[in-house]
Amino acid sequence: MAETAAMTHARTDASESAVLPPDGVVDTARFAALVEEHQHKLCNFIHRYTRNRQDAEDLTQDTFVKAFRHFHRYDPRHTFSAWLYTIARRTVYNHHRDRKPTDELSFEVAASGPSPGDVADRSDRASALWEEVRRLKSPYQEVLILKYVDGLSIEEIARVLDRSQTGVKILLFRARGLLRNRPTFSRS
Amino acid sequence: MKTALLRFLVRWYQASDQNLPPWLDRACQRTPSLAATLQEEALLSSRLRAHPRQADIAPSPFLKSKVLHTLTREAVDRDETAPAARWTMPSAAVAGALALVLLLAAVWLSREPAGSGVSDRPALAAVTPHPTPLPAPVSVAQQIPQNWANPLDAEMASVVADADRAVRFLASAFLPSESVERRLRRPTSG
Repeated sequence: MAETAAMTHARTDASESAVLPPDGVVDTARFAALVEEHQHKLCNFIHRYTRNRQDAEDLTQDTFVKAFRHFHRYDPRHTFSAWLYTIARRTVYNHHRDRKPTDELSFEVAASGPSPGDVADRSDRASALWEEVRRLKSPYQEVLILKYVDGLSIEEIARVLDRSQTGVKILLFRARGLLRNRPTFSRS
Repeated sequence: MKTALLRFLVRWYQASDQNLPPWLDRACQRTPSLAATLQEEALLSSRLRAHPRQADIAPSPFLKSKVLHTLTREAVDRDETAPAARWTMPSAAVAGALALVLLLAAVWLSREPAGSGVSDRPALAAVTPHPTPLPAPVSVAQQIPQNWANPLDAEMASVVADADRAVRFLASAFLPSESVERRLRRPTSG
């Protein structure tokens, strides 16, 4: 039991542990703080799928409502954001299936266009590398974003993507191999 | 061949975000090509982590209030439907139980009596006196008088006497007198 509590604090962010209810019961006031904390990241996560701002906001709202309804299913050993991403991804896929069942949903990095600050950073090798990421297939983009932008662990990515941890490692291995072989990745 | 395998393992551990095992770390220190691979992978990881700020969107300032409004509305709807459910469910249960009781009563009242003996049994049980307890067992030998004669012995003696008379009558009627006397005497003397 003590180990579980220790794991909980080890896995959750410091900000999350301050907001998340320790007893696993959440009321509207507590949940409002969680919405405040995660809405920006979650909205952008969903926007990578929808590439439409209004849809992203609507689905973000749906995701939060579902999270509130099923808060008793949240496992505090994992980060709250990873749990939100899991719900959000399913919500996005269900929404897309209902609207366009024949089209395959793809995941895009920074599809809404770079900000002026990013344009200034284009000379940076990291920016060039992320431009290459945009050219990868959707599963590779998805796993790279979750790993290196959202900072999720392999286990959390596996939960979000509903894959095995080995499957996530293989995706990362292949994606990194593709990036390594691109000319923009200079070793110097 | 071995270096290629070790290079694969270095890349796998780096992609999996795991530390190299000590033996692989030592191999990287010994082999320059493996050391270069390790550096290359570390560089790739660092560049991926140093991602440029995504061209992100700022959610609407009303997103939070919309979420909370939805949650509040759901709670209100739940509270409004709750009293109806609170009254509907017990009423249905009571009505069901009452119907079941009435059905059982109707079935029980409408059935034919299984038989007079069965149906009268309680009345008989009510009027039948309780059986008297048996007397304590007393030794039969103590109740027999000293001069008691078994009536079966007397009966057997009379039967034997009748048979003897019948035999003597038949013998005297159908056999010569000497042989009769002799034959009738033989079993008794023998």
